[in-house]
Amino acid sequence: MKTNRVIILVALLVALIVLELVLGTVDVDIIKGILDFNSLDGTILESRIIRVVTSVFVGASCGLIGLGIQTLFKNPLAGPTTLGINSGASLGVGLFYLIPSLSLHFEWFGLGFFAILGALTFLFLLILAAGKSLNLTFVLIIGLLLSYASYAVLEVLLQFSDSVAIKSYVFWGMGSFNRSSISSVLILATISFSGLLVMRKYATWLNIYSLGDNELKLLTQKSITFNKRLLLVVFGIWIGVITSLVGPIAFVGVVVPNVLKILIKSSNINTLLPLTCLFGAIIVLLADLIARGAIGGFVLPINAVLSVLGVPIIIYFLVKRISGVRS
Amino acid sequence: MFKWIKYQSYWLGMFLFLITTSCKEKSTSSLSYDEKLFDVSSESISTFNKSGVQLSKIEKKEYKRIILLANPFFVYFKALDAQFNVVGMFNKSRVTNVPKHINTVGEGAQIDLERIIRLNPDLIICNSYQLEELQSLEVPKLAYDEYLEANPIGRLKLIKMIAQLTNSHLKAAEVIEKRSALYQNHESLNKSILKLDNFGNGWYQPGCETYISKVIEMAGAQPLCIERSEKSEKIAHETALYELSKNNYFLFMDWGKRKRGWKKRFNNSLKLDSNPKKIIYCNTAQTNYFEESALNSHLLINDLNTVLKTEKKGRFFEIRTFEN
Repeated sequence: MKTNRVIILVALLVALIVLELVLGTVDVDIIKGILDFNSLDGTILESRIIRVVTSVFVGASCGLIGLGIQTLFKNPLAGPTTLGINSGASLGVGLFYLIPSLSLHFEWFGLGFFAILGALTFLFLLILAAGKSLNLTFVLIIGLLLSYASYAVLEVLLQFSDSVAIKSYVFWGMGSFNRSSISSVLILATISFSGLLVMRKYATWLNIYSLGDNELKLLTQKSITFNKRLLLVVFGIWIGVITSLVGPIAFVGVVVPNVLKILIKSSNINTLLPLTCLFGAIIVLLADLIARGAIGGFVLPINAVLSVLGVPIIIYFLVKRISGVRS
Repeated sequence: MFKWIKYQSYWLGMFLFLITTSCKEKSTSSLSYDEKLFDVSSESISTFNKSGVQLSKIEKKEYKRIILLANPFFVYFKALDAQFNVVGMFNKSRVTNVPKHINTVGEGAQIDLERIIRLNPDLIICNSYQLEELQSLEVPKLAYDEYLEANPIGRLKLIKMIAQLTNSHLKAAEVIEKRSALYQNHESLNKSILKLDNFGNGWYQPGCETYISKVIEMAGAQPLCIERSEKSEKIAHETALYELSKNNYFLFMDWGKRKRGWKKRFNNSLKLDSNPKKIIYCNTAQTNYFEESALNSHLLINDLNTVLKTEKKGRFFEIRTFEN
C-alpha cells in the first residue's frame, strides 16, 4: 500500500515535470532546445528546467519544514510562518528596500544576505527568549510577537518610503521563481538535502516526542532540550534561505503534512518524509504551472495560486475527516 | 533597573535610527532633473535614482529589439518614429494605439520571462524594482526609477535618452525645441487647487516638486502641496479634513474606464461625509492624460488654465458638482 502511494505520487510528479517542460506561454521545440542550448528554444528550455528544479526543492522543503514544526510544536496549524522566521526574513528585506541608506551602502551584500540575517536574528532572539528549558508554547508566543513587531516596523517604514521602494518590497512579498538561477538552485539543493538528512536522522526521536508525556520520560531532559534547539536552528536556517531565494511561500508547509496525515491515517515521520517531499513538490509544481501562465495564459503571483489551491484542499480534507468522525 | 533602561534605550535608539535614516532628506544637486537621472558618455549610457545611485549602465549603440517594461516610455519612441525598435511591451493593453508588431510580455504585476526570451531582445527598459526579477536574463537592462514624478520640462527632456538608444538625436532635439517653446507659465488666477488621495490606509497629498503640482502652478493656480517633496506623502486624517473644509477647488483624478459612475468612484475613493463644492474632474483613462503628459504637458497646462478661467469643459479637465 505504502509503495503504491509512492508510485502514484512519483507518477504525478513526473507527469507535472513533463508538463512544466512542455507547456508555457510560448511554444518551444524541445528537441531543438536539447540539441542546441544556445538557441532561443534552448534558453527557454533552460529557464523551464531551472523553474522545475526550484519548484521541486521549494515544495519538498516547505512540506518538510511544516511537518517538522508541526511535530515539534504538536500543533497541526503550525508552519514555516508560525516561528516568525519568515517575518524576520521579510523584515531584513524590508529594511534593505525601504531604508535608502542601507541599500545605498550595503548593496553589494545583496538582498539574500539581509533576508538570511533577518531570519537568523529572529531565530537567535527566539532561542534566547525561550531560555534554557525551551518551553515550546513560549517559543510559539514569542514567534508570534516577533512577527507582529516586524509588521509594525515595516508598516512604519512603508509610510515613509517612496513608491519604488514600496513596489520592490511588495513584489518580493508575492514570491517569485523568476529570480531563480543555477546558483540559487545549487544553494536550494544543498540546504534541502542537508535538512532532509537531519530530519531523517531525527525521525525516530520526533516520533517518540510526538507520542506523549509518558513516552517522553524515556528520553533524558538534556536530549530533549538539545534536540529541540537543534531542530529549531535547522528549520530556522532552512526557512531563511528559502525565503531569501524565492520570497515567502505560503500554505505548502501547513497543507502538505495535514493532507498526507489524513490520507494515510498515520503520523509516522519515517513514512511521511518521502511522501511529504513528493506531495510538496507536486503542489508547488502545479502552482508554478498555473502561475507562469502555462495553463490559462495569465501570469500570476505564485503565492496567490498556492493559496487558491491550498484553501479548498485543506477544507475538503477537514470536512471529510469531520464527516468520517460523525458517521 | 539601570540595565533595563539601558537595554530599552538601545532598542529605542535603533528604532529612531531606522526612522530617521528612512526619512532623511535626499541630497539635492544643482543639476536639472533630466541631467540628474541619466548620463551619456562616448561609450555608455547610465541611469541613476534621485539619490544619485547608479541603477544601470549599458553600451551606447543603436538597439533594434527593445522590450519596454516601463511602458510610459513608448510615447518617446512614437515621437521619434522609432516604434519599430520596440518588439515587446509589458501591460500593453494599458497603452493606446500600440502597433500590432509589438507583443505583450505580461499583464498586471507579473513579468512573463518566457515571452521576453522568445522575442530575443537586445535591450530591456524596465523600472528599477523589476531588476531583481530579470537578473537571470543575460540581456542589457536600462533601469529607471519612476520617472512620472518629474516636472513637465524634465519629462519632455527624457526623450534625449531614448534618442541615444535609437540613433535619432536630431529628431529629439527638434521635438524638444518645438514643444518646450509651447510650455509657458500662465498668469496667476488667485485660485487654489487641492488634490488628495485616499488609498484606504490613509490620506496622501502631493509634494510641491511632483508633476501634478507643477502643472497646476504653470496653469496659474496655487497647488496646495507639501513643500520640497518629490512624492505624495501621507498626511493625518484631521489635516485632510481641515484641508477639505476650505473652499478650494478639489482635483479628482478618475482612473475609471467608463464615463458613467464617476460620483460612485469619487465616493468610493474618498469616503467623505460632505463632498467638496468645486470639483475639477479629470479622467486619466479616457483622455490620454498619461501619454500626453510625457511630451505634451502644455496641452494639460493650457487646458487647466482655460477651464479655471471660463469654467467650460476642456479636453482633459472640467468643473463638476454633485448636482450636475
